[in-house]
Amino acid sequence: MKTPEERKHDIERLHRKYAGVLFDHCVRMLGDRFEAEDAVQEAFLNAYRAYDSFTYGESRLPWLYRITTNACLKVIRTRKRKGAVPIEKPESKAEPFRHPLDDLHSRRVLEAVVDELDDRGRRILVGHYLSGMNQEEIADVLGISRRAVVKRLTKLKRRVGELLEEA
Amino acid sequence: MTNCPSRFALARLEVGDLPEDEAARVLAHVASCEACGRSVADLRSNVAAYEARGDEHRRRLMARIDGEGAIPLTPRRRSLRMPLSIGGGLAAAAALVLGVYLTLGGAPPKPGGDDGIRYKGVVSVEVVAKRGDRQFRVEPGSALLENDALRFIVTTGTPGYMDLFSVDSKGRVSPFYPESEPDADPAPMTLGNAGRHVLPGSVILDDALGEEHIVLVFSEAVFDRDEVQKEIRSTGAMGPRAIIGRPGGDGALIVERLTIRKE
Repeated sequence: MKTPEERKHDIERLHRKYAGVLFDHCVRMLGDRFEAEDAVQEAFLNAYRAYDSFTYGESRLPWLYRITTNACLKVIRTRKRKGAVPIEKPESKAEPFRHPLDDLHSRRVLEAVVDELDDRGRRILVGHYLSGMNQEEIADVLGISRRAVVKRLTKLKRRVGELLEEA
Repeated sequence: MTNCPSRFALARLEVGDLPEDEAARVLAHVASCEACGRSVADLRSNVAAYEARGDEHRRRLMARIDGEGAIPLTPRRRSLRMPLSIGGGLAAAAALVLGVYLTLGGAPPKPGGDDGIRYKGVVSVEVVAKRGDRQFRVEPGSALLENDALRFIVTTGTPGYMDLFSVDSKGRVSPFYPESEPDADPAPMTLGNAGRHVLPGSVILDDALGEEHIVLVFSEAVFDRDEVQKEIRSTGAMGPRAIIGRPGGDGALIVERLTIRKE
């Protein structure tokens, strides 16, 4: 087990390498750069606290992605509770795949369904719709079987479809 | 079914985490796919925006980890005010008003700074307020309250130097950016490129009532904050906008003023 000083040094090294791409992930989830900056910091603080939970292979990115997604989901749920809206619409850039949850309206669909799900369901939702991950990538990030992802994703897609029709 | 890589895969490519053969495949695809090319550009733009203040973000994170004075990413209190007269008292008011987006020469420059067009001599400041978990742009007529946290976005047409401070109804000056007292640290803040600059941290509004001026001084040449603040106070060049020329042809000082009142 590493000392606190060693952990801190590791977290700083991870921040230098990964914070930028995690900020990109947060901007896409939250649609607000200010909140995205705060979410990145919260994520790395949580990563420091949960340091010993890391059990994957060489890359830390899937682990950090999961922690960062959780930090953003917390913001979304708080935002939803307070009735706040992000101040800036994210700059829209062409994407290789146009998921229904790429704009502000659809982000509200995400906020609507997020409360219906458990932690794993939320992360699968974010991974698929916001990051465009394939099943293998989602399984890699979550540390679960691909089969479990497929099963869950089928139900999720059905529910999101229902919500989009209602909206 | 698209063959385009996910955003997650592009992130892994960007940080060098993809195995060599996979990285080669993704790169080859990106080179031939316009949409993926734009995705990569968008990702890199966000990464660059974050890393522009990467050292500051890390410093704050390490401080939080140390638990020493826990520097949060956002709120910070204003420093002790300097009891200097600004030349004439300013009446307190009951209503809360904010005058914003004052610029010289017409529309503010486009954000980003790399649109190929130089807006020489133009500077503008936008203000975003955070109240609890809610954030909103401050528009003329917005009501601001004690403990509202203000963030500032300064857009410039050229690289240069800036000083942002406030003057209250009793003529007391509070430095914002830089946060240090100008007589102890006369160096202004450097803005190394043209475009949109989100200033770090935020400023918490205190309980002082009455009218308050937020003053932005910008110049393409470095200036002495202490001297400039004294000159502004002595000449009353408070705006809403003013230009102070300087001998020797050094960059003129552009002074923008925002007026707020708190109830």
